This record gives sequence, structure tokens and C-alpha cells, in this order.
Amino acid sequence: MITARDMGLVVCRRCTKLWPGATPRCGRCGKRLQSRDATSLQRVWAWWVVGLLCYIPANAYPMLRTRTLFQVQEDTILGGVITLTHHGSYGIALVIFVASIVIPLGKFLAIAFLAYSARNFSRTSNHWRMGLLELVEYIGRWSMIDVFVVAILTALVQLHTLASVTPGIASLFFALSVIFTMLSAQSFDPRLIWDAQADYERRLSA
Amino acid sequence: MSQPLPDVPIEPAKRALIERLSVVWIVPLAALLIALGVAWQSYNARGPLIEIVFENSEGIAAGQTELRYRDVTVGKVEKIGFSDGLANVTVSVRVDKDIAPFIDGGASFWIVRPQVTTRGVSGLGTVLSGVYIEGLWDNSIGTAETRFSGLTDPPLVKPGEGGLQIVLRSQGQTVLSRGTPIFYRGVEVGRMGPPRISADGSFTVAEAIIFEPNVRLITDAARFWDISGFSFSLGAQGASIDFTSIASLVGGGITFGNLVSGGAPIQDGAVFDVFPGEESARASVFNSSDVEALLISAIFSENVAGLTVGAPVELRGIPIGQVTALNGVVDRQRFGNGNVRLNASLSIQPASLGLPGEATPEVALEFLAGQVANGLRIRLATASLLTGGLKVEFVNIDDDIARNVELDADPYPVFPTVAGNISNVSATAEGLLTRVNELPVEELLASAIGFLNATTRLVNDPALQGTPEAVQRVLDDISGLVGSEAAQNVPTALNAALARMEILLARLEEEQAIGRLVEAVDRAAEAATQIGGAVEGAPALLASLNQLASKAEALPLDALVSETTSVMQSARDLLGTDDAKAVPQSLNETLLALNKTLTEVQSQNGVGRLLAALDAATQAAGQVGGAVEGVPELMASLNQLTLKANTLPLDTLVTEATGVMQSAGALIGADATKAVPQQLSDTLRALGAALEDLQSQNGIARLLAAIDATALAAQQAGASIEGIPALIENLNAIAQKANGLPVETLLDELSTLTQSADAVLNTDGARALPSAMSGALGELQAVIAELRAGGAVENANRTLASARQSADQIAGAVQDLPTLINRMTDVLQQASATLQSYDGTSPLNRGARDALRDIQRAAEAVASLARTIERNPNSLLLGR
Repeated sequence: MITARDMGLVVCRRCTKLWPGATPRCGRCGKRLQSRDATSLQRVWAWWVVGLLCYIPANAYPMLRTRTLFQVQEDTILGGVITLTHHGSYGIALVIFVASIVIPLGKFLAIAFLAYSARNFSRTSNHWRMGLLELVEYIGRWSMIDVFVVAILTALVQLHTLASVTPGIASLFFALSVIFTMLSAQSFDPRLIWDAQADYERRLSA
Repeated sequence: MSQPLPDVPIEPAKRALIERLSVVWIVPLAALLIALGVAWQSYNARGPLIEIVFENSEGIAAGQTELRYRDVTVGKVEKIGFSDGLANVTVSVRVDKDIAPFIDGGASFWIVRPQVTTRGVSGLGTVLSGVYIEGLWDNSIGTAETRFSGLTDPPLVKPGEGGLQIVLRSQGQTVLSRGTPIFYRGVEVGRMGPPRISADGSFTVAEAIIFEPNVRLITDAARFWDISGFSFSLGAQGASIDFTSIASLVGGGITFGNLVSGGAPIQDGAVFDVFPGEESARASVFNSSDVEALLISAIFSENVAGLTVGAPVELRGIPIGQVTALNGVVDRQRFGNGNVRLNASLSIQPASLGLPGEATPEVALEFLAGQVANGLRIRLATASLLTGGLKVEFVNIDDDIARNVELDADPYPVFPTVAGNISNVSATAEGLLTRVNELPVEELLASAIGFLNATTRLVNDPALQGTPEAVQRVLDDISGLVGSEAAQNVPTALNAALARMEILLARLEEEQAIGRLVEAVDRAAEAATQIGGAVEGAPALLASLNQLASKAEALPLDALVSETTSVMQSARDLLGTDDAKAVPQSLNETLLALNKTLTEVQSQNGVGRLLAALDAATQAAGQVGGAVEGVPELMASLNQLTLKANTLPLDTLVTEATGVMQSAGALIGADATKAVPQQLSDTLRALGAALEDLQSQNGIARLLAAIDATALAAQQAGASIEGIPALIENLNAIAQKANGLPVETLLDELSTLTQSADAVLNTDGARALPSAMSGALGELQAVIAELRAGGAVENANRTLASARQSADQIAGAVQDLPTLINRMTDVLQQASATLQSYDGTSPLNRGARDALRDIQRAAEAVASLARTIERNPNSLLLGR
């Protein structure tokens, strides 16, 4: 497979115009041109770590604080899922479980796998990994569904002494975690996927 | 041609690690630092974990149940587990770091749950919030501990709270229960802790606390007693029911009092007994455990039914102990026969005897033994007639044989007894019933019934029932009369008139009228003295009068009285008419007019002139004084005359008078008479109007002038009276003569006269008189009205002027009066001589009687004239 770099070209990542390899800036949109982003993986890993750090308190601390007349209940994400399951609301429990636990964790794994495979050989095809990256970027925004649920509940259930719902500290961390994961995914330079393939093939032929 | 350069691998220059690192790494670094910082801080701020062991963990939830100190949350339960061997529940509590040091060995914990007891509801908040663990510890930092055992109930005393901790002890008569309030004079001053059984099982013991400011109330003289519920006792003292208050009836409570003065303060841990009631508490004052009771025996040979253990032992009515045991005893050697006797064991409180010094059983026994030698004995007595209970009493029996206490008897010293003073209630009651049975109740009832029947008949008599109504009617009429507006106005008018009078009097005072009056009074006094001399014969006269009175007393007055009553009835009817009620109104108006007239009199210097008149009167009085000198003899003659009158037959006269009264009654009752008040009222009104006119026409000035003339006339009259003494002398002589005359026949004629009067009164003419009078009054009213209308007042004024002239002339004429009197005297002297010569001759006698009657009539006429003038001087001028 021939890449643009092999042909002495560089693409502008903003306006997608091709330029000769040595062109420092895009003549059309003025963006600085780089054939490969050298710090991409560093940034991916940095955001990934922060995101993971935030994900820990997001699960450890209560997400939702429900105060009724007689008691105050604080639910973590997983605790809420379990409670809902006990109450028989399997559908909602599944939605929350997928949105708050499966997807974030999957994102972490996917990004880590992509970043790792950019340096090391992977059996998976470049196209599959490209698709995975696109999936991660696409699905990232939906991870905020949990935060939206908390925000809507807080706004709706404010019956003063009878019952009230306030967001727990975990909701803040969860939101941060989602943001940092999205930043991490965005920092990944997809061209590194092709370079890794080329490197592998070169080493194989040498 | 050059060889192409070999393909030299170009290695990019190795940059330093720091240059290759992205700036983004700062973010995870910062996040890590923050996380570490937060973690460290939260770990640092976390307090220690303590473990509290409870029997059970009812209501405690991990992560929710709080630990509170003075209702402030200072920790939270983290874990609930079991202690080794599942014996207890271990509750792990995370305690706030700043509180933790205070939780040392002295801390105590218990679970606060909602409680509903008779003393109220507590921990209600925990119904909603769930239970919590309350902790208590003092405010000093001690050695830290991590394991505590929880209490099942809140502690009685809270650390740092002031209070006196005491121990209450009960022998089982009183139920001690947890939380029972302790009252002092009805105020709650303390609280009782949970009771427990003492080590030897003979007491219930409960700790109690007396709160701080009331600690001083408790001394070692304090006695506690139970006021829970109510107590009902039926014993030798009769029945009694006792409870303090409904609150203590329901919730229970104990109270205390310092029953003896003095008493030293006590320390924590002092032990007090709780008595079942106030009486036993008071009794215990002398029953303190440090004074041992004196135990003695008394042996009774009589029937002791009614004596029980606990019956009081009294010394002259003072309880000094009680019966502690009763048992029979048979001792043939000791008592001489084999009868069963009763041995009563008595417990005597030495302190109750009031012995000086220390009260020990030995001292008490010695004292009592000494008293027994002096005649002190034990006997049974009735304590209560109702229950038939017996008591034991010490009494002094003076004439008993000398006996002593058997001091060495076993087990207690035996005191001598005497026969009891037991009332045989049943025998007495039977006698009483027998006597009641024998009472003549039936006869009594028959009499009572008869009496009641008679009373009923009397009460049902219509006449008697009508009486109150009649009285009521009279009262109503009087009330209506008095209550009328006019009558009520009378005082006001009178008041005004009096005010005027007052002003007039003041004026009189100014004019030294009093001086002159005094002078006149002096003269009058002289005259009185002379009269006094003249009256010396009065006692005899009085005696005769007295006899007359007694005779009069014997007269048949009843009929007269009944007639008078009927007259009264008529009078009442008269009063009840509307016209009579109108009279006050008229009177009122007249008074108003009079008032105005008086004002005028005042303004016209009438007083001065009046004074002049007074002077003249004074002179006249002086002359009267001189003239009276001859009166004593006259009195003596009158006396004789009275004596004679005394012997006269008055009875018939009274009868006649009764008849006259009847006629008078009928007369008053006539309709015409009833019309009189109206006429009177109208007349009064007219008079009032006339007075007003008079006032307006300056009539007063003329009146005053007339008074002046009268004064002159009085002066001259005074001069003319000088000849009167001689006249009196003559009268005296005539009286003496008269005295000698046969009055009886005269009286007969008088009686006849009265009868005639009666007849006259009964005639239709007399009956017509009231209507005539009424008509006359009406005419009078018309005349007065006419007078007013026709300028009569002016005429009257002119008339007054002429009256004055005529008065002047009278004055002149009176100057000639002395000579006239002299002549009269002469004539009388001659008459006297004539009488003397013709004494006893019947035709002459009769003539003299006629003459006397005429003179009498003339005298009455003069008297009435004088009265009229006296009362109403105007009549002299107005001719009425």
C-alpha cells in the first residue's frame, strides 16, 4: 500500500488538500502541515490516564443523592443498576449499565489497543482499526447520557421536603472522564495505523 | 562522473526526553496530585473507629445510624458485626477526629428509641429518622479506648450534670420503678433509676438523683414515702382513702420531707428507706433503726376478739408502739387455774416516751416499771366502734392493789393488766332500738296530720290569700304616687326654695335679727316662767287626765278602729285616683312660684320690715307675759273641771263618735269626695299661676307695705293686751262658777248634739257636701282664673293699697280697744255677780249654759282666725 508520505506528499488535516512534502503550511487554510504527528501518542496516553483517573471516583462515589421524607439514599452507578434490577426495571438497568460502564470501559480498552498497535504489530487489519477509531470517536458523545439523566432528574424531582434528587460528586467525575476520553481519542493520529503496517512489512522484508 | 552516494541511513538527532514530552502530560500529573492530596486529606481527617458492644442492634443501620453527643452528630456507624461467639453485637462507629480524644473510659453509649410510658413520650423524633446512638462522656481528655459496652437504658446521671446521687431502699411495700419522679412539695426535684434486688434479697434498691439546686433540701432527717396510686385502709382508726394527685395516681411517684428539724447534709450514696405512706414515714422518725424497741408482754384473761397484730399501744392517747404478737398461754401454776389466757407481745418505742437523755430500751423499762409501782396498768380498750377493733392502752388505776412488773419473765417482762374498758356496742344498740320502738309514733303522726290539715285549710282560705294582694295594691298605689315624675320633682323645687330661704336667713343675720329674736325669746322666756308658775297646778290636772285616759282606754274602741280602717280603705281609694296623683305636679308648680316669690321678697328688703314686725311682736309677747299672771287660778279651776269631766259617761260618746266615723267613712268614700283632689290640683295650679302673676305685678312691694301696717297694728295690739289680765281674772271667776255647775246634763246634751251631728252627716245633704265642695273648688278655680284673666291682680294691688289704709285705720281703732276691754271687764264682773246670785236657778242656769256655748264657739272662731292669720297673712289682705 502506498501512502502519501511515500509519494512525498502531505495532506492538510483540516481542508484535506494535498501538498508537496516540504510545504510547511497549507496554502489554502493556513494550517501547519505535518506528515506525522510525533506527539500524538503521548497526548493520547496522557488524556487516557486522566480519563481513567477520573473514572475511578466516578464509580466509587455516589452518582445520585435521593432524599425522601424518611431517608437519604445515595447510589453509585453500579449500585443504581443493581437497585433497578431488584426493582425489576431491567431495560433501564441495561441502558445505564451499557452507557455508564460497558461503553466507557470499552473506550478505554479501544484507545489503549489503538495506541499500542501504533507502535507494535497487530494482526488486525488497518481498516478494522480505522473503523474502531471512528466508532470510538462517534460513540464518545453518547457516554454523556448518564450525566444527562442525572441533570434531568435533578431538575424534575425537587419536591422540597417530600423528595429531592441532587447530583452526587461522581457525576462530575464521570463527565470529566468522558471529556478526557474524547480528547484522548481525538489526539490519536490515524495515519500512525498505516505507518505501523509499513514498519512491520519493512522489518519483515529486511 | 561520480558514484551515487551510498544510501546512508539518516537517523534523526535524538532529542532530549524533556523536549520530546508533550505538554499534555501536565494534566494527568495535576490530576494525580489532586487525587493524592484529596486522599491524604480525607485519610488525615478521618477519626478513629470505636466499637460498641450491644445486646442487639435493633434499628441500627450501617452507614446511616449516627452517634450523637448532646444531640449533635459526632460519628456514624460503619459496620455492624458480632463479637466472638455471637454473644453480642459489635457496632463500629467512625467518630469525628476532634471529638475522639474525649471518648475515654468513662464514656457510655445507649440506643435511643421511641418510648411511650406513663410519664410521657420520649425519642419521638426517632420514629421518622430512625434510632441513633447517644453517647455521653465528660469534657476531659483521658486515655483513648476503642471498645465500649453499650447500656440497655440511658444512664440516670449525665456527666457534668449536678445532682446528688442517693440510694433508695424499699422492703417491698413500695414498688420502685425506673424513672419514677421524686417530688418535693409537688415539684419534681429528682428521678429514680432502675431498681434492683439487693445482694441478700431483702430489699429492692434503686439509685436516684436529686437535681442540683434542690440538693440542699435533703438532709439525713429526710424521709421518703410513696405517693403512687391510692391507699385504702380499714383499721382500728376507721376507713381512710388517700391519694396525692391524679398524675401520681397514674404515673407513680415518691416524695420526701424533712420531718424533724436539724439534720446534717449528706453525701452521694446515702441510703434512704421508702415508706408506704406519709404516716408510716412520720412514725419512723422515732423508729430509726438505731433505737431498739422495748419488747414487753401483757397477759389478758378476758375475751380479746378484735385485738390484732399491729393494733396501737397508747399511753394517754399517744401511740407509743404496737402489738407485735398474740398467742395463748396456759400456766396452771402461775395463774391458779387451767384457763387459756392471751399473751400479747408489745413493742414500745422508747423515743416516743419523750424520756430525757438517750432513749434506750433499758431506760424505758426502768421508767415504765417505776410508773407501774405508782399504779400504771395495761388494759384493752375499744379503738373503733365501727369495726370493733381493740387497742392496748396504759392507764393509771389508783385503787388497784400494788403490783409490779415481772422483770425476769420469759421472754419479755410482763406488765400487770386490769379488766378492759370495752364498750358493748351490741347491747347498747339494742337498748336504743327498744326505746325507739316504744315511742308513740302513731299518735304523734295523727296529731301532725291533723295539724297539717288545719294548716292547709287556713292557707287555702281565699280571704287569707287575698290579703297579700290588697297589701300589694296599696303599695303599688303609693309607689305610683311617689314614683310619679311630679312627686320626684318636688324635692328639686323644695331645694331651690330652701336655697332662697337660706339667703333670706343670711340677710336676717346681717340685720342682727337674731339679737332681736333673742330679745323676743327672752321676753317669751319671762312669760314662760310666769306661765310656769301658773302651771304649778298642772300635775293634779295631769293626774286627772291620766284617770280620764284610763277610762278612755276602757272604752269600746275596737269598733271605732274598724271604722277607721274602713275610712283608711276609702282614703286609699281616694289616693289611688289619677287626680291625687296629679296633686304633686301642681304642688311642684306652686312651689316653683313660691320660689320666685321668695326671690322677689328678698329683693324688696322684706326682711327689714319683717324685723320691725318682730320687734312689735316682742313687745306684745312681753305684755302677754304680764297678762298671764292670773292663769294659775284658772288652771286650778280647770283642774276641778277636768275632775268632773272624769266622772262623765264617755262611753256613749265614743259610740256616737264611732257612728260619726262611719258617716265620715261613707262620706270620704263618696264619688264626689274622690273628685276633690282633682279640683284641689287644679286650684293649686291656678294658685301657682296667680302667684306668678302676683310676682310679675310687683305685688310683693305692696305686700311688704301691708306687713309694715300689720307691724304697727301688732304694736297697738300689744298695748291693748295690757287690759287682758283683768279679763283673765274674770274668766277665772267664771270658770270657778262653771265648775260648780251641773255639767252632766251638759254632757247629755253634747251627746245628743253628737247624735244630731251623726244624723246630719248621714243626711243626703251632707253626702252632697263633697260634690258641693268640689263644685265650690271648681268655682274657686274659675274665679282665680278669671282674676288672672281680668287684670284682677292690678285690682288686687289697688285693694291691697286700700287694705293698708284700712289696716292703718284698724290700728287707730285698736288704740281705743283698752277702754273697750275695760268695759268688757266691767261687764264680766257684773256677769260674775249675776251668776253668783243666780246659782242653781234653772232657767238662768240654762241661759248661762247657752251663753257659755256661744262664748266657746266665739273663742274657737277667734282661734281659727288667729291660726289662719298666722299661717297665711295674705288672707288678711286678700280677704280669704
